Amino acid sequence: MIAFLEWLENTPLGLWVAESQWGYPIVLSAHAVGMAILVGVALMFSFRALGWAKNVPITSLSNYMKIARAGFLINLLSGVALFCGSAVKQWDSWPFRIKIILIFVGLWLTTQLYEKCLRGDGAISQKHKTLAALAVFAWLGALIWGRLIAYVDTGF
Amino acid sequence: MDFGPLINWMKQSAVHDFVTQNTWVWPTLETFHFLGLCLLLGSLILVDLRVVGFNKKAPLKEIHAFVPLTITGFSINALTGLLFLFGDPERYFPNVAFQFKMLLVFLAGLNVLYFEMKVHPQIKEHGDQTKLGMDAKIVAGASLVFWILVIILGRMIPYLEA
Repeated sequence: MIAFLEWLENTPLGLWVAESQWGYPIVLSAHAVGMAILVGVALMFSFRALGWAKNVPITSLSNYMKIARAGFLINLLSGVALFCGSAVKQWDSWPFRIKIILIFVGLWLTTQLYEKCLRGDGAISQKHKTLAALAVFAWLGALIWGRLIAYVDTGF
Repeated sequence: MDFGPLINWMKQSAVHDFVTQNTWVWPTLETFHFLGLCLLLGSLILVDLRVVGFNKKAPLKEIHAFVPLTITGFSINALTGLLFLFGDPERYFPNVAFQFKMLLVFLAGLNVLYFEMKVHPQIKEHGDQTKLGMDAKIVAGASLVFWILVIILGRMIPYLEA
């Protein structure tokens, strides 16, 4: 595994992120914008399901899922680039691992909410509300652990 | 403009000591700052894109109900941002990225004022996006561009140190 991680760091992408003057800040900025789009829209879906802006039919928000997906794509690409820039360190970091798990959980919960509720008949059941609340916690957790990557050194 | 006296006053304040002498404070503020920008941009995406003409099936008048979340996000970020400033004023005041970011926040603020005073009344009046003036669409589009630039410039602060 370590050989693969080191290979990643030596790819042109990994070297550009790690060593060029602007590679890292450019990719990091894209990652912040993508986060704001994806997490921002996902939070709005959850808040609507939990009772915010009751006069806006929840099904009328379904088109914004395209925007959330665009945010996800930005962060998948920029995230892979950031990972290549310091693959060995990230792989060993517990905050990073927890963040990735929470992102998968958040994506699954928000997608479930989208499929079952935003694309439903307009009714919001208790189950939808539970999905929405759990999604808020997953995204909050991903933000917290993402921030902690820079502060907690937990290599083996 | 000489920020020296302001910087010295900030550094001697109790707020400065609170922010710098507790290791948990800075990462906590950063996390809230990130949450705030998600609330701000997320809610504006719903409102501004609708005004521009995306997603016509959402009711134009009613979607304005997401704006309080924009204001909540902005308030969180104004407060946490001010605490960053108290924590490390010598770093922020001379920083080019920070200066441009504040300029853009100011412009984005004027844009919000225009939206609330000139665009929102149009929305309340007929609730039909196709009847909105060109100014409404420009202001809504500019809002998203301004805030995305604010996020980018904020992220650039550590890399544009004077």
